[in-house]
Amino acid sequence: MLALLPRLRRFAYGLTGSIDDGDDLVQTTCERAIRHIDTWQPGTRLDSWMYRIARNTHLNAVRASRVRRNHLQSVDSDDMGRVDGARAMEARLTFAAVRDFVVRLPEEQRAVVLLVCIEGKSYKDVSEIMDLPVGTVTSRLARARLALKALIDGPVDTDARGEP
Amino acid sequence: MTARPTDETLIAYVDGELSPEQVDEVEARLADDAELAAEIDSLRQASAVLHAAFNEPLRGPVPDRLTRIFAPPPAAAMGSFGWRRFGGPFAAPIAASLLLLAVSLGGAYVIAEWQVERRIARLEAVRAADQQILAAAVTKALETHVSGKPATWRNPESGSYGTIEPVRTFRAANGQWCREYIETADLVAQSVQAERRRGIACRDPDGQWRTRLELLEASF
Repeated sequence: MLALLPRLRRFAYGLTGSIDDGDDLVQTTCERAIRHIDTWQPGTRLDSWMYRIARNTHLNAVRASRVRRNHLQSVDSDDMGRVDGARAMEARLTFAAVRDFVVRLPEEQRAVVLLVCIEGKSYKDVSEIMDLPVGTVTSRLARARLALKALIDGPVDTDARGEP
Repeated sequence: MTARPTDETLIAYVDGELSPEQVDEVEARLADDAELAAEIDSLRQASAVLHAAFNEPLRGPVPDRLTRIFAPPPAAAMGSFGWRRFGGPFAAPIAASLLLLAVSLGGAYVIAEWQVERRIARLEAVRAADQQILAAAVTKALETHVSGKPATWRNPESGSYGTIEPVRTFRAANGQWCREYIETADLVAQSVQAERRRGIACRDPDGQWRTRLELLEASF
């Protein structure tokens, strides 16, 4: 479990949008995992099980707080590409802009994107972690990925692209 | 010619989720559809940027408050519970045995704590050593190896190992030499599984290769 911490922190960072909030989430997740270690089935993947706890803990916290913070308010995907694209054009595309984009994604798309694109999970793993049919994983992923592509394609930064 | 693949198919292609037949279909189409190829490129680019944007927690050390969760519960705190309230002829022996209990529980806790600390320190040292060997191997491979020839490294102390293979070399718009590479690594202290990454590193004027982009392609 200790060895999983760095990757769990990265996932929690993506879910919450801040390293500190992410570490709070990791802390709760680990404490839960230790308390409920008997519910983990040996032979199944420990990391998937931990991602699942982290994601559920996060969802519960978001639901419980009711007062959703402004930056968590979901934005229509179509709108998002345009608005963020225009803004990023001025500031040039930075990693911060990508993080901002991820934080603005609707909750149900964000975890899918993080697990597939960052944690390198297969669609099948993600469907198990999130209790979703593979088809739903695919369509959520597509929506978010296309919006992200629009954001990145918008302000093409020729210096940074390094095309030969 | 077959129909243009859907966006979902393209994304699944980038994620390596298609069956071999579907991959063949997409690639047949790709060969003479530059627009499609560009689209796949930018999907890949988007993933790479996304991946790099959240890498920060992987670099620094894990904060104490998280590693501390894995220390054993403080048994010593319960050790010397209320022995002062006892009176009468047995007070001294009871007190003595409770004290003994407290000391041994406390001692056990201190030893357990010390062992956990030591294990964490060892993991940290292994991680640092792996990183050093890995960095040297990457620099050497990028500096001296021709594309397509992988270099391997191994840390016999930890059992971590990996390969670096430069796959292509190009000159960026700003004149810097850059190389795309594929890196596989099984870092014992860092992740539970081996990972394959694809990245681009450019050679800075000081002779250092610095990674510009890195994308996790697979973990196994």
